[in-house]
Amino acid sequence: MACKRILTLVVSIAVLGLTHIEGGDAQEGPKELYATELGADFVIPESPGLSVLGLDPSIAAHPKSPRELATSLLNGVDAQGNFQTGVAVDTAPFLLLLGGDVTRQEYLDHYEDRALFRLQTSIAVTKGTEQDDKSARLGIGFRWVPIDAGDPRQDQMLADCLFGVLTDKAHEVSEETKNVPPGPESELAFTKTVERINAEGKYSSRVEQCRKESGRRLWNRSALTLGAAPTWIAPEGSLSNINSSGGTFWTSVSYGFDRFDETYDRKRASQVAAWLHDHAEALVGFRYLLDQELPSPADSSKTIRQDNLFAGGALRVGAQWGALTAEAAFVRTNPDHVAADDYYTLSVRGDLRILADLWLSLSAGGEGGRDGSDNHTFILSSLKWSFPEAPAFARNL
Amino acid sequence: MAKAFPSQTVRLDPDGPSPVLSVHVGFANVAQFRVEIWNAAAGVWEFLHEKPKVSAPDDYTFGLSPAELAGRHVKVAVFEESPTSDPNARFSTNLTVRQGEAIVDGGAFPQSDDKDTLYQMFFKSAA
Repeated sequence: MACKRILTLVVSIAVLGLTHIEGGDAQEGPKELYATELGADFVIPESPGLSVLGLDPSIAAHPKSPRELATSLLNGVDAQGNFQTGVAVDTAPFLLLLGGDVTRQEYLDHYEDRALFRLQTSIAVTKGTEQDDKSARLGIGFRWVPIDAGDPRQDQMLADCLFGVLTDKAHEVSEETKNVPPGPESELAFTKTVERINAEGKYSSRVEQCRKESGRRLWNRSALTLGAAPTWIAPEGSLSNINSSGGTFWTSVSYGFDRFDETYDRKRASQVAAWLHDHAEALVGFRYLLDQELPSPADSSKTIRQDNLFAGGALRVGAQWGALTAEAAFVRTNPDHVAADDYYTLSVRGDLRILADLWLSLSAGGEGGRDGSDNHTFILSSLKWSFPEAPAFARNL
Repeated sequence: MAKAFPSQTVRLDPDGPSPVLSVHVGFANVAQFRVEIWNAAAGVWEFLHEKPKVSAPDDYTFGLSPAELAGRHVKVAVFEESPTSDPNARFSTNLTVRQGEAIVDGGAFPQSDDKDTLYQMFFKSAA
Protein backbone atom coordinates (compact mmCIF):
# COMPACT_ATOMS: atom_id res chain seq x y z
CA MET A 1 0.00 0.00 0.00
CA ALA A 2 2.84 2.33 0.88
CA CYS A 3 4.39 1.79 -2.53
CA LYS A 4 1.09 2.58 -4.24
CA ARG A 5 0.76 5.83 -2.29
CA ILE A 6 4.29 6.81 -3.21
CA LEU A 7 3.81 6.10 -6.88
CA THR A 8 0.54 8.05 -6.91
CA LEU A 9 2.24 11.03 -5.32
CA VAL A 10 5.22 10.88 -7.69
CA VAL A 11 2.96 10.73 -10.72
CA SER A 12 0.90 13.62 -9.37
CA ILE A 13 3.98 15.74 -8.86
CA ALA A 14 5.24 14.90 -12.32
CA VAL A 15 1.91 15.81 -13.93
CA LEU A 16 1.82 19.06 -11.96
CA GLY A 17 5.33 19.87 -13.11
CA LEU A 18 4.65 19.05 -16.74
CA THR A 19 1.53 21.20 -16.73
CA HIS A 20 3.63 24.22 -15.80
CA ILE A 21 6.48 23.39 -18.11
CA GLU A 22 4.59 24.19 -21.28
CA GLY A 23 4.51 27.86 -20.38
CA GLY A 24 8.18 27.85 -19.45
CA ASP A 25 9.20 26.33 -22.75
CA ALA A 26 7.25 28.81 -24.78
CA GLN A 27 8.49 31.89 -22.98
CA GLU A 28 12.07 31.09 -22.14
CA GLY A 29 13.05 28.38 -24.58
CA PRO A 30 14.79 26.31 -21.92
CA LYS A 31 17.89 24.46 -22.91
CA GLU A 32 18.13 20.74 -23.17
CA LEU A 33 18.62 18.92 -19.89
CA TYR A 34 20.80 15.89 -19.65
CA ALA A 35 20.53 13.25 -17.02
CA THR A 36 24.22 12.72 -16.47
CA GLU A 37 24.17 13.15 -12.73
CA LEU A 38 20.88 11.63 -11.81
CA GLY A 39 21.79 10.46 -8.37
CA ALA A 40 23.93 7.56 -7.30
CA ASP A 41 23.82 4.36 -9.24
CA PHE A 42 24.47 1.29 -7.27
CA VAL A 43 26.56 -1.18 -9.15
CA ILE A 44 29.72 0.25 -10.66
CA PRO A 45 32.57 1.72 -8.65
CA GLU A 46 34.47 4.41 -10.54
CA SER A 47 37.67 3.76 -8.63
CA PRO A 48 37.82 0.03 -7.92
CA GLY A 49 40.52 0.19 -5.31
CA LEU A 50 38.54 2.65 -3.22
CA SER A 51 35.28 0.82 -3.38
CA VAL A 52 36.57 -2.45 -2.02
CA LEU A 53 37.99 -0.66 0.96
CA GLY A 54 34.56 0.61 1.80
CA LEU A 55 35.66 4.19 1.28
CA ASP A 56 33.87 4.96 -1.92
CA PRO A 57 30.22 5.52 -1.14
CA SER A 58 29.57 7.15 -4.48
CA ILE A 59 29.18 4.65 -7.24
CA ALA A 60 29.35 5.89 -10.80
CA ALA A 61 27.45 4.36 -13.66
CA HIS A 62 28.36 5.42 -17.15
CA PRO A 63 32.04 4.80 -17.86
CA LYS A 64 34.24 7.85 -18.05
CA SER A 65 37.40 8.21 -20.05
CA PRO A 66 40.20 6.57 -18.12
CA ARG A 67 42.65 8.99 -16.62
CA GLU A 68 46.26 8.34 -17.46
CA LEU A 69 47.47 8.83 -13.91
CA ALA A 70 45.66 10.24 -10.93
CA THR A 71 46.26 10.09 -7.22
CA SER A 72 43.83 10.90 -4.46
CA LEU A 73 43.97 11.06 -0.71
CA LEU A 74 41.44 8.98 1.20
CA ASN A 75 39.72 9.76 4.43
CA GLY A 76 36.66 7.92 5.63
CA VAL A 77 35.00 5.54 8.02
CA ASP A 78 34.95 1.82 7.25
CA ALA A 79 32.06 -0.59 7.83
CA GLN A 80 33.17 -1.13 11.44
CA GLY A 81 33.10 2.58 12.18
CA ASN A 82 36.88 2.96 12.28
CA PHE A 83 38.43 6.02 10.72
CA GLN A 84 40.69 5.14 7.81
CA THR A 85 43.13 7.26 5.91
CA GLY A 86 45.23 6.41 2.88
CA VAL A 87 46.05 7.01 -0.73
CA ALA A 88 44.82 5.71 -4.08
CA VAL A 89 46.51 5.68 -7.46
CA ASP A 90 44.47 5.23 -10.62
CA THR A 91 46.08 4.74 -13.97
CA ALA A 92 45.41 3.53 -17.50
CA PRO A 93 48.67 1.59 -17.95
CA PHE A 94 48.60 1.07 -21.71
CA LEU A 95 47.59 4.65 -22.31
CA LEU A 96 50.37 5.77 -20.02
CA LEU A 97 53.10 3.55 -21.48
CA LEU A 98 52.16 3.19 -25.15
CA GLY A 99 49.78 6.10 -25.78
CA GLY A 100 52.48 8.30 -27.27
CA ASP A 101 52.84 5.88 -30.19
CA VAL A 102 49.16 5.83 -31.15
CA THR A 103 47.78 8.47 -33.47
CA ARG A 104 44.11 9.35 -33.64
CA GLN A 105 43.71 7.55 -36.96
CA GLU A 106 45.31 4.39 -35.57
CA TYR A 107 43.03 4.60 -32.55
CA LEU A 108 39.97 4.84 -34.79
CA ASP A 109 41.11 2.03 -37.08
CA HIS A 110 42.19 -0.54 -34.49
CA TYR A 111 39.84 -1.92 -31.86
CA GLU A 112 42.77 -3.42 -29.94
CA ASP A 113 44.20 0.06 -29.33
CA ARG A 114 40.87 1.29 -27.98
CA ALA A 115 40.43 -1.79 -25.81
CA LEU A 116 43.90 -1.45 -24.28
CA PHE A 117 43.52 2.28 -23.67
CA ARG A 118 40.32 1.62 -21.74
CA LEU A 119 41.86 -0.69 -19.18
CA GLN A 120 42.20 1.07 -15.85
CA THR A 121 44.01 -0.16 -12.77
CA SER A 122 43.67 1.18 -9.28
CA ILE A 123 45.69 0.62 -6.13
CA ALA A 124 44.48 1.87 -2.77
CA VAL A 125 46.10 1.56 0.64
CA THR A 126 44.48 2.67 3.88
CA LYS A 127 45.51 2.56 7.50
CA GLY A 128 43.43 2.79 10.66
CA THR A 129 44.21 5.90 12.67
CA GLU A 130 42.64 4.98 15.99
CA GLN A 131 44.34 3.41 18.97
CA ASP A 132 42.50 0.08 18.75
CA ASP A 133 42.61 -0.17 14.96
CA LYS A 134 46.12 -0.80 13.66
CA SER A 135 44.97 -2.56 10.54
CA ALA A 136 46.21 -1.71 7.07
CA ARG A 137 44.24 -2.54 3.94
CA LEU A 138 45.25 -2.97 0.33
CA GLY A 139 43.00 -3.08 -2.71
CA ILE A 140 43.98 -3.62 -6.33
CA GLY A 141 41.33 -3.01 -8.93
CA PHE A 142 40.95 -3.60 -12.63
CA ARG A 143 38.29 -1.88 -14.68
CA TRP A 144 37.88 -2.50 -18.37
CA VAL A 145 35.45 -0.95 -20.82
CA PRO A 146 35.60 -3.16 -23.92
CA ILE A 147 32.66 -1.34 -25.54
CA ASP A 148 32.16 2.40 -25.28
CA ALA A 149 30.15 4.13 -27.96
CA GLY A 150 30.59 7.33 -25.95
CA ASP A 151 34.38 7.44 -26.24
CA PRO A 152 35.30 11.10 -26.83
CA ARG A 153 38.34 10.05 -28.86
CA GLN A 154 35.95 8.56 -31.42
CA ASP A 155 33.65 11.56 -31.56
CA GLN A 156 34.19 13.06 -35.02
CA MET A 157 32.17 16.17 -34.18
CA LEU A 158 34.38 16.81 -31.16
CA ALA A 159 37.50 16.29 -33.29
CA ASP A 160 36.19 18.74 -35.91
CA CYS A 161 35.41 21.28 -33.20
CA LEU A 162 38.88 20.98 -31.63
CA PHE A 163 40.47 21.11 -35.08
CA GLY A 164 38.70 24.39 -35.78
CA VAL A 165 40.01 25.89 -32.55
CA LEU A 166 43.57 24.72 -33.26
CA THR A 167 43.43 26.09 -36.82
CA ASP A 168 42.37 29.51 -35.55
CA LYS A 169 45.12 29.40 -32.95
CA ALA A 170 47.71 28.46 -35.58
CA HIS A 171 46.60 31.38 -37.75
CA GLU A 172 46.85 33.87 -34.90
CA VAL A 173 50.33 32.69 -33.90
CA SER A 174 51.44 32.77 -37.53
CA GLU A 175 50.11 36.29 -38.05
CA GLU A 176 51.82 37.63 -34.95
CA THR A 177 55.20 36.09 -35.76
CA LYS A 178 55.26 36.44 -39.56
CA ASN A 179 58.04 39.05 -39.61
CA VAL A 180 60.31 37.46 -37.00
CA PRO A 181 63.39 35.99 -38.72
CA PRO A 182 64.46 32.36 -38.28
CA GLY A 183 66.62 31.32 -35.35
CA PRO A 184 66.53 32.20 -31.65
CA GLU A 185 64.31 35.23 -32.25
CA SER A 186 61.71 33.02 -33.86
CA GLU A 187 61.87 30.56 -30.92
CA LEU A 188 61.32 33.35 -28.44
CA ALA A 189 58.53 34.96 -30.43
CA PHE A 190 56.69 31.64 -30.73
CA THR A 191 56.84 30.78 -27.02
CA LYS A 192 55.91 34.30 -25.93
CA THR A 193 52.99 34.52 -28.35
CA VAL A 194 51.63 31.08 -27.42
CA GLU A 195 51.99 31.74 -23.71
CA ARG A 196 50.20 35.06 -24.02
CA ILE A 197 47.38 33.50 -26.05
CA ASN A 198 47.08 30.62 -23.60
CA ALA A 199 47.00 33.03 -20.66
CA GLU A 200 44.14 34.92 -22.29
CA GLY A 201 42.17 31.68 -22.24
CA LYS A 202 40.34 32.47 -25.47
CA TYR A 203 41.06 29.11 -27.08
CA SER A 204 40.97 27.04 -23.90
CA SER A 205 37.41 28.19 -23.25
CA ARG A 206 36.44 27.17 -26.78
CA VAL A 207 38.08 23.78 -26.20
CA GLU A 208 36.05 23.35 -23.02
CA GLN A 209 32.91 24.24 -24.93
CA CYS A 210 33.73 21.59 -27.56
CA ARG A 211 34.14 18.97 -24.82
CA LYS A 212 30.97 20.07 -23.06
CA GLU A 213 28.94 19.74 -26.24
CA SER A 214 30.48 16.33 -26.86
CA GLY A 215 29.57 15.26 -23.32
CA ARG A 216 25.97 16.24 -24.01
CA ARG A 217 25.93 14.25 -27.23
CA LEU A 218 27.49 11.17 -25.68
CA TRP A 219 26.03 11.09 -22.18
CA ASN A 220 23.86 8.06 -22.83
CA ARG A 221 25.83 6.08 -25.38
CA SER A 222 26.07 2.34 -24.93
CA ALA A 223 28.93 0.79 -22.99
CA LEU A 224 30.02 -2.41 -21.31
CA THR A 225 32.13 -2.30 -18.16
CA LEU A 226 33.83 -5.20 -16.38
CA GLY A 227 35.70 -5.02 -13.11
CA ALA A 228 37.40 -6.98 -10.38
CA ALA A 229 39.20 -5.90 -7.24
CA PRO A 230 40.72 -8.28 -4.69
CA THR A 231 41.63 -6.92 -1.25
CA TRP A 232 43.96 -7.79 1.57
CA ILE A 233 44.16 -6.81 5.22
CA ALA A 234 47.05 -6.74 7.69
CA PRO A 235 45.30 -6.77 11.11
CA GLU A 236 48.36 -5.49 12.97
CA GLY A 237 49.48 -3.20 10.18
CA SER A 238 52.47 -5.39 9.32
CA LEU A 239 53.13 -6.75 5.87
CA SER A 240 54.47 -9.96 7.44
CA ASN A 241 50.93 -10.91 8.41
CA ILE A 242 48.68 -10.00 5.53
CA ASN A 243 45.57 -11.99 4.63
CA SER A 244 43.06 -11.95 1.84
CA SER A 245 39.94 -10.05 2.79
CA GLY A 246 37.82 -10.92 -0.19
CA GLY A 247 37.12 -8.69 -3.10
CA THR A 248 34.49 -7.47 -5.47
CA PHE A 249 33.49 -8.28 -9.05
CA TRP A 250 31.13 -6.30 -11.19
CA THR A 251 29.78 -5.71 -14.63
CA SER A 252 27.49 -3.12 -16.12
CA VAL A 253 25.81 -2.55 -19.44
CA SER A 254 24.46 0.84 -20.39
CA TYR A 255 22.27 1.03 -23.45
CA GLY A 256 21.68 4.30 -25.28
CA PHE A 257 19.12 2.95 -27.75
CA ASP A 258 21.77 2.85 -30.47
CA ARG A 259 21.83 -0.93 -31.01
CA PHE A 260 25.39 -0.89 -29.61
CA ASP A 261 26.41 0.49 -32.97
CA GLU A 262 29.02 3.25 -32.81
CA THR A 263 27.93 4.42 -36.27
CA TYR A 264 24.18 4.25 -35.56
CA ASP A 265 22.22 6.70 -37.71
CA ARG A 266 19.34 8.08 -35.66
CA LYS A 267 17.92 9.84 -38.71
CA ARG A 268 16.84 6.48 -40.06
CA ALA A 269 15.17 5.47 -36.83
CA SER A 270 11.51 5.86 -35.97
CA GLN A 271 10.42 8.96 -34.07
CA VAL A 272 10.22 7.11 -30.76
CA ALA A 273 13.57 5.38 -31.25
CA ALA A 274 15.23 8.68 -32.19
CA TRP A 275 13.80 10.36 -29.08
CA LEU A 276 15.07 7.55 -26.85
CA HIS A 277 18.46 7.72 -28.54
CA ASP A 278 18.74 11.41 -27.70
CA HIS A 279 17.17 11.43 -24.25
CA ALA A 280 17.30 8.07 -22.50
CA GLU A 281 19.65 5.47 -21.14
CA ALA A 282 18.97 2.06 -19.65
CA LEU A 283 21.51 0.50 -17.28
CA VAL A 284 21.82 -3.02 -15.97
CA GLY A 285 24.45 -3.95 -13.42
CA PHE A 286 25.68 -6.75 -11.25
CA ARG A 287 28.11 -6.58 -8.36
CA TYR A 288 29.35 -9.28 -5.98
CA LEU A 289 31.29 -8.52 -2.81
CA LEU A 290 33.09 -11.55 -1.49
CA ASP A 291 34.10 -12.13 2.14
CA GLN A 292 33.32 -8.70 3.52
CA GLU A 293 34.27 -8.46 7.21
CA LEU A 294 31.59 -6.99 9.46
CA PRO A 295 30.96 -6.70 13.22
CA SER A 296 29.00 -9.69 14.51
CA PRO A 297 25.38 -8.77 15.30
CA ALA A 298 25.58 -11.03 18.39
CA ASP A 299 28.88 -9.69 19.74
CA SER A 300 30.25 -6.43 18.40
CA SER A 301 33.75 -7.29 19.59
CA LYS A 302 33.83 -10.12 17.04
CA THR A 303 33.57 -10.06 13.28
CA ILE A 304 31.81 -12.21 10.74
CA ARG A 305 32.32 -12.69 7.02
CA GLN A 306 29.57 -11.92 4.58
CA ASP A 307 29.00 -12.02 0.82
CA ASN A 308 26.82 -9.36 -0.79
CA LEU A 309 25.17 -9.50 -4.17
CA PHE A 310 23.66 -6.50 -5.90
CA ALA A 311 21.76 -6.78 -9.18
CA GLY A 312 19.79 -3.93 -10.55
CA GLY A 313 18.77 -1.69 -13.34
CA ALA A 314 18.02 1.93 -13.97
CA LEU A 315 16.32 4.04 -16.58
CA ARG A 316 17.47 7.63 -17.00
CA VAL A 317 15.74 10.26 -19.04
CA GLY A 318 16.75 13.86 -19.70
CA ALA A 319 14.85 16.39 -21.80
CA GLN A 320 13.73 20.00 -21.81
CA TRP A 321 11.17 19.37 -19.12
CA GLY A 322 13.69 17.90 -16.70
CA ALA A 323 15.53 14.74 -15.84
CA LEU A 324 14.45 11.60 -14.08
CA THR A 325 16.01 8.34 -13.01
CA ALA A 326 14.25 5.25 -11.76
CA GLU A 327 16.28 2.50 -10.13
CA ALA A 328 15.51 -0.95 -8.84
CA ALA A 329 17.92 -3.34 -7.18
CA PHE A 330 17.88 -6.80 -5.72
CA VAL A 331 20.27 -7.30 -2.79
CA ARG A 332 21.30 -10.56 -1.15
CA THR A 333 23.41 -10.56 2.01
CA ASN A 334 24.84 -13.94 2.89
CA PRO A 335 26.72 -14.02 6.22
CA ASP A 336 28.68 -17.12 7.26
CA HIS A 337 26.66 -19.62 9.32
CA VAL A 338 23.48 -17.51 9.02
CA ALA A 339 20.63 -17.71 6.54
CA ALA A 340 20.83 -15.32 3.61
CA ASP A 341 18.64 -12.23 3.56
CA ASP A 342 17.14 -11.02 0.28
CA TYR A 343 15.55 -7.65 -0.22
CA TYR A 344 14.91 -5.09 -2.90
CA THR A 345 15.19 -1.35 -3.21
CA LEU A 346 13.30 1.02 -5.47
CA SER A 347 13.87 4.71 -6.02
CA VAL A 348 12.89 7.56 -8.28
CA ARG A 349 14.60 10.92 -8.31
CA GLY A 350 14.96 13.86 -10.56
CA ASP A 351 14.32 17.49 -11.39
CA LEU A 352 11.26 18.79 -13.15
CA ARG A 353 11.33 22.20 -14.78
CA ILE A 354 8.24 24.15 -13.80
CA LEU A 355 9.32 27.51 -15.19
CA ALA A 356 12.56 28.61 -16.79
CA ASP A 357 14.29 29.02 -13.42
CA LEU A 358 11.91 27.15 -11.19
CA TRP A 359 12.55 23.51 -10.52
CA LEU A 360 10.90 20.82 -8.53
CA SER A 361 13.43 18.38 -7.17
CA LEU A 362 12.07 15.14 -5.88
CA SER A 363 13.15 11.75 -4.70
CA ALA A 364 11.14 8.81 -3.53
CA GLY A 365 11.88 5.21 -2.79
CA GLY A 366 11.95 2.40 -0.35
CA GLU A 367 12.94 -1.16 0.30
CA GLY A 368 11.14 -4.34 1.11
CA GLY A 369 11.55 -8.03 1.81
CA ARG A 370 14.24 -7.64 4.47
CA ASP A 371 14.17 -10.27 7.23
CA GLY A 372 13.44 -9.23 10.81
CA SER A 373 12.63 -5.60 10.22
CA ASP A 374 9.90 -3.44 8.82
CA ASN A 375 10.13 -2.42 5.24
CA HIS A 376 11.15 1.16 4.87
CA THR A 377 9.80 3.71 2.51
CA PHE A 378 10.78 7.29 2.17
CA ILE A 379 9.58 10.18 0.13
CA LEU A 380 11.04 13.61 -0.15
CA SER A 381 9.98 16.38 -2.42
CA SER A 382 11.03 19.98 -2.52
CA LEU A 383 10.34 23.04 -4.56
CA LYS A 384 13.26 25.32 -5.28
CA TRP A 385 14.51 28.11 -7.47
CA SER A 386 17.43 26.87 -9.48
CA PHE A 387 18.98 30.23 -10.30
CA PRO A 388 21.90 30.51 -9.90
CA GLU A 389 22.24 26.90 -8.84
CA ALA A 390 21.85 23.93 -11.13
CA PRO A 391 19.11 21.43 -10.36
CA ALA A 392 19.84 18.92 -7.64
CA PHE A 393 20.42 15.79 -9.69
CA ALA A 394 21.01 16.87 -13.23
CA ARG A 395 23.79 19.05 -14.58
CA ASN A 396 24.95 20.36 -17.94
CA LEU A 397 22.12 22.76 -18.40
CA MET B 1 52.91 24.52 -22.49
CA ALA B 2 54.90 25.77 -25.47
CA LYS B 3 58.21 24.54 -26.77
CA ALA B 4 60.40 25.91 -29.56
CA PHE B 5 63.34 23.82 -30.69
CA PRO B 6 66.52 25.46 -32.03
CA SER B 7 66.91 25.43 -35.78
CA GLN B 8 68.28 22.15 -37.09
CA THR B 9 70.26 21.70 -40.30
CA VAL B 10 68.68 19.13 -42.62
CA ARG B 11 70.89 17.80 -45.44
CA LEU B 12 69.00 16.77 -48.54
CA ASP B 13 70.14 14.46 -51.30
CA PRO B 14 70.15 16.81 -54.32
CA ASP B 15 69.30 13.90 -56.61
CA GLY B 16 66.54 12.55 -54.37
CA PRO B 17 62.80 13.25 -54.48
CA SER B 18 61.10 16.16 -52.78
CA PRO B 19 61.31 15.68 -49.01
CA VAL B 20 58.29 14.60 -46.97
CA LEU B 21 57.51 16.02 -43.57
CA SER B 22 55.90 13.47 -41.21
CA VAL B 23 54.13 14.70 -38.09
CA HIS B 24 53.24 11.97 -35.59
CA VAL B 25 50.90 13.01 -32.77
CA GLY B 26 50.27 10.44 -30.05
CA PHE B 27 47.64 9.69 -27.40
CA ALA B 28 45.01 9.78 -30.16
CA ASN B 29 45.00 13.56 -29.81
CA VAL B 30 43.73 16.05 -32.36
CA ALA B 31 46.39 18.27 -33.97
CA GLN B 32 46.86 21.00 -36.52
CA PHE B 33 50.23 21.85 -38.03
CA ARG B 34 51.28 24.74 -40.19
CA VAL B 35 54.34 24.86 -42.45
CA GLU B 36 55.94 28.16 -43.47
CA ILE B 37 59.07 29.10 -45.44
CA TRP B 38 61.18 32.20 -44.85
CA ASN B 39 61.35 34.75 -47.66
CA ALA B 40 64.55 36.58 -46.78
CA ALA B 41 64.08 39.28 -49.43
CA ALA B 42 60.63 40.25 -48.17
CA GLY B 43 61.41 39.52 -44.51
CA VAL B 44 58.31 37.44 -44.05
CA TRP B 45 57.27 33.84 -43.44
CA GLU B 46 55.23 32.54 -46.37
CA PHE B 47 52.53 29.92 -46.06
CA LEU B 48 53.30 26.50 -47.49
CA HIS B 49 50.79 24.12 -45.95
CA GLU B 50 48.38 23.39 -43.13
CA LYS B 51 46.54 20.18 -42.38
CA PRO B 52 43.32 20.21 -44.41
CA LYS B 53 41.18 18.05 -42.13
CA VAL B 54 41.21 16.14 -38.87
CA SER B 55 41.91 12.67 -40.15
CA ALA B 56 44.10 13.48 -43.13
CA PRO B 57 47.43 11.63 -43.27
CA ASP B 58 49.93 13.60 -41.24
CA ASP B 59 52.46 13.78 -44.07
CA TYR B 60 53.29 16.78 -46.20
CA THR B 61 55.30 16.51 -49.41
CA PHE B 62 57.10 19.73 -50.23
CA GLY B 63 56.21 21.16 -53.61
CA LEU B 64 59.79 22.27 -53.98
CA SER B 65 62.72 20.19 -55.19
CA PRO B 66 65.81 19.63 -53.00
CA ALA B 67 67.64 22.25 -55.11
CA GLU B 68 64.90 24.80 -54.54
CA LEU B 69 64.82 24.10 -50.82
CA ALA B 70 68.59 24.34 -50.37
CA GLY B 71 69.50 27.43 -48.38
CA ARG B 72 65.94 28.03 -47.16
CA HIS B 73 64.56 28.15 -43.62
CA VAL B 74 61.31 26.31 -42.87
CA LYS B 75 59.32 26.27 -39.66
CA VAL B 76 56.57 23.88 -38.58
CA ALA B 77 54.22 24.87 -35.75
CA VAL B 78 52.23 21.97 -34.23
CA PHE B 79 49.19 22.62 -32.03
CA GLU B 80 47.74 19.68 -30.13
CA GLU B 81 44.65 19.10 -28.00
CA SER B 82 43.26 16.11 -26.11
CA PRO B 83 39.63 15.08 -26.71
CA THR B 84 39.34 14.09 -23.05
CA SER B 85 38.99 16.48 -20.15
CA ASP B 86 41.63 14.63 -18.14
CA PRO B 87 43.71 17.37 -16.46
CA ASN B 88 46.69 15.04 -16.65
CA ALA B 89 46.26 14.29 -20.36
CA ARG B 90 49.59 13.94 -22.11
CA PHE B 91 50.89 15.19 -25.42
CA SER B 92 53.42 13.79 -27.82
CA THR B 93 54.71 15.09 -31.15
CA ASN B 94 57.39 13.63 -33.39
CA LEU B 95 58.66 15.32 -36.52
CA THR B 96 60.81 13.72 -39.22
CA VAL B 97 61.95 14.69 -42.71
CA ARG B 98 62.31 11.87 -45.23
CA GLN B 99 63.39 11.43 -48.79
CA GLY B 100 61.82 8.24 -50.03
CA GLU B 101 61.70 5.83 -47.09
CA ALA B 102 64.79 7.08 -45.31
CA ILE B 103 65.01 9.84 -42.74
CA VAL B 104 67.50 12.33 -44.09
CA ASP B 105 70.56 13.54 -42.23
CA GLY B 106 69.39 15.94 -39.54
CA GLY B 107 65.77 15.11 -40.31
CA ALA B 108 64.94 13.45 -36.97
CA PHE B 109 63.77 16.08 -34.52
CA PRO B 110 63.50 15.68 -30.74
CA GLN B 111 60.17 14.49 -29.37
CA SER B 112 57.98 17.14 -27.78
CA ASP B 113 55.57 16.53 -24.92
CA ASP B 114 54.08 20.02 -25.05
CA LYS B 115 50.75 21.05 -26.52
CA ASP B 116 52.28 23.68 -28.79
CA THR B 117 55.61 23.09 -30.47
CA LEU B 118 57.74 24.95 -32.98
CA TYR B 119 60.24 23.08 -35.14
CA GLN B 120 62.71 25.01 -37.30
CA MET B 121 64.96 23.64 -39.99
CA PHE B 122 67.54 24.97 -42.42
CA PHE B 123 67.82 22.95 -45.61
CA LYS B 124 71.23 22.30 -47.08
CA SER B 125 72.38 20.17 -49.97
CA ALA B 126 74.32 17.09 -48.91
CA ALA B 127 76.45 17.32 -52.05
